[in-house]
Amino acid sequence: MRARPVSILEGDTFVVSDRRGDISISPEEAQGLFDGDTRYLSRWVLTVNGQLPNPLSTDDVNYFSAQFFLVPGTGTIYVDSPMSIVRQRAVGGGFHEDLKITNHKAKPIDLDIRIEADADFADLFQVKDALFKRAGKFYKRVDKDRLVIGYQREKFVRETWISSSAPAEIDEKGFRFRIHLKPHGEWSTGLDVLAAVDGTEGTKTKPKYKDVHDTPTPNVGMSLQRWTATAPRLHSSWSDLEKTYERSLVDLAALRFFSRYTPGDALPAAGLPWFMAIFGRDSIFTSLQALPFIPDLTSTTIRVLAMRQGTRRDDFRDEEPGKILHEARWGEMTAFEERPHSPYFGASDATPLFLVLMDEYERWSGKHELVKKFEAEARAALRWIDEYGDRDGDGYVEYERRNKQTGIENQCWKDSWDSIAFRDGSLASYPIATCEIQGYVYDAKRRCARLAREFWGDAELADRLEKEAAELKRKFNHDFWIPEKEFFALALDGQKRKVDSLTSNLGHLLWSGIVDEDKAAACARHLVGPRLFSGWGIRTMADDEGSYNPIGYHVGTVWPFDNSIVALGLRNYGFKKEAARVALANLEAARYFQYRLPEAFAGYSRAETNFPVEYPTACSPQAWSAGAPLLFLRTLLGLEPVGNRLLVDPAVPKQIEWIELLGIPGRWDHADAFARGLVEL
Amino acid sequence: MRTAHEVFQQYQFQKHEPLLRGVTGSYLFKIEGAGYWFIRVRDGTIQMEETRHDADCTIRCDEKDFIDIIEGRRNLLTALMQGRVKIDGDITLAQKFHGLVSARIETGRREAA
Repeated sequence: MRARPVSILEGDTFVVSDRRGDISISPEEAQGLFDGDTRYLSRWVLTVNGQLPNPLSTDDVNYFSAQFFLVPGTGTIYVDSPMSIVRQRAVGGGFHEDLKITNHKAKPIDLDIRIEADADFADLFQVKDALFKRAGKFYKRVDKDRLVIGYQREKFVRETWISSSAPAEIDEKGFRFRIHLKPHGEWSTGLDVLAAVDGTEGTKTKPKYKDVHDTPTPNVGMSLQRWTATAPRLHSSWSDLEKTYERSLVDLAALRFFSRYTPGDALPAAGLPWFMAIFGRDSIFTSLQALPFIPDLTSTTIRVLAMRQGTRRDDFRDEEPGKILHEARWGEMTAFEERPHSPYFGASDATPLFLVLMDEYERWSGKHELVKKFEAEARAALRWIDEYGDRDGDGYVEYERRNKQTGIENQCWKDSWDSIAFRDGSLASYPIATCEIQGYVYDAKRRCARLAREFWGDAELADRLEKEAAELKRKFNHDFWIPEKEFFALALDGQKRKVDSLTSNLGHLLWSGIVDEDKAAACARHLVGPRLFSGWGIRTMADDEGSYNPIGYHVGTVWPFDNSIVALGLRNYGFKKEAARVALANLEAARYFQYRLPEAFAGYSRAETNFPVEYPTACSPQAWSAGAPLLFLRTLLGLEPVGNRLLVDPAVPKQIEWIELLGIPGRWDHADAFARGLVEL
Repeated sequence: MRTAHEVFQQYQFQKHEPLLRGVTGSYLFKIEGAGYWFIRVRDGTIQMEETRHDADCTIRCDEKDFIDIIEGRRNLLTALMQGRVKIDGDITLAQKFHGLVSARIETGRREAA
């Protein structure tokens, strides 16, 4: 098994290296220094006397800094090393690295130290999809005391500026230091690597940290210490739960970033390394999960998404008036419209989910200014649902990409090309109306009816929305239900056929409230039954379906985010025991991932593997996976705003003796929750 | 192709832009080879001068790119990413300008349809 890479990040600037601290292009890892979806360093390799040092220990001290303890290569037999090499790195505007070499011997030594540097300025899409064709020109030059590596295509210029505090021989390949170390002597240098957009300094003249021991000053609002101190405090008899909670808070802090569309507001990026960008759906779900813990994330998400709401029909970007964006990128392929992400609007669920989030924010926080301020945007989103989302006037929101070349085929959360399949494995035809999107629309209309009545002074709109929601629920329970299988179809396809695979989407339906009471028990039975429930969580697709693959991205893996929504859905319909089972299984899995739930893990049965098996290219940390433990906690504790009070109605499994959550923020100021594990699973 | 002068003249007599309701701030357009236009917006009310002033948001580009953006042939954000347009100051105001241009193009599209 390959060694886990070391990743440090700040906003959408991040460094992925191996355990030596080196960066090199490899088919297995997306290594490099990335900023704004562009790789500013693709090679950064340290050698001492022509040899690669060996790593002794590596520590990502904070999410934005790491240190690497190395010794010269000693072959397979370890002999006491005559020296130590320490690299300490902090990311921000590029990165700063302190390199220190200590001679442990009583004799002097001469060393030839080299740092090779190069940059391919690849767009993250090129890295991810292994695309190598480039339209621009590369150049390198030594400008007095710095190495400049650059790439230019028309007026698009990206440069990496590298300099050293210690004297160096600089050539186009990198830096060379010939040093003489006295007995027990020490040598060090500071290396600055700057991501210089447009080949100008812009606002950045040097990396953020001139010394890795600088007091950290995050760009994204409050410090990590304040961030974790502001969140509710968790105590539990189960220490794994405490560790998972702490890890989640730190990861959510790490994934905060400034949107380049609205600087000054930090919101959650989707995940490292592929998705350090705004994703409408991911930011909304993460904000929903974190709302009882870190409400500020939600207000930012609403503001940023409202700001970049669609204003026109633009088929290349799948943009329509009122639609909420899917993904925003800044790399070369986006700039030259070889990809539509400037921003791209290919998500049909983000718009109703945006409305759900607005209402949920007001319900928890009691702050109605935001829902008043963005009334026009909310109304535009409601219009999008009816005028653009429902393409054929059948009352359901369906999708079919208008951008046939580079648009996303499946514009729901299971957005891989093969995710919407019939039981026999054949794919659904377009346009597709997935079941959970209808649930989100139902929920959005109900919630907006409340907002219209209480805050927008529009009783007429409220009445209309309630009527439409009721009609949607009635129709949905008829059209999507498969009586002989006793579950809801995954979707209606282009020919209005029911896509009859059993999937986790049932749980999202429960969460939305669209399910008739008399159908809920069957849904719950399926969700925790052996076809869907692996023992570690609910699979995205049942293990006897034609498309099932335990390591298929959306057709068999277990997604902690998905499970967290499903668990709350079960709970909302009164299936407390089932909700507790799903929550416990996922939280138990976290221990096998160093308490950091990944984006997804394999759907193998727990009885078969005894541990949750990794999914090969899962992002980690991933925002909505980091948010999942928070939502599981809310579900286990039964936290719900009722008027201006917080209702606590726990259903905690016996495996957890007790849980205490102190200082839960909300319209009640702060409240505490305590629960004993009484539920027998 | 229209000129930047003609585009701004169109706004000369417009005192109110409903799509900029809620927006307050000032723009300076530096159109290379054509001139400077300063626009102050107060909750949708517009005041324009063909002159150079400090502004909350400065948008700089050449005349062809500017006309292409205004007429929908080029996207403001990709032009910014490509280095064709430079924006200094409040990018939120630039977003509002982008929204205004997009909405006008959408209106034109609907009318044409």
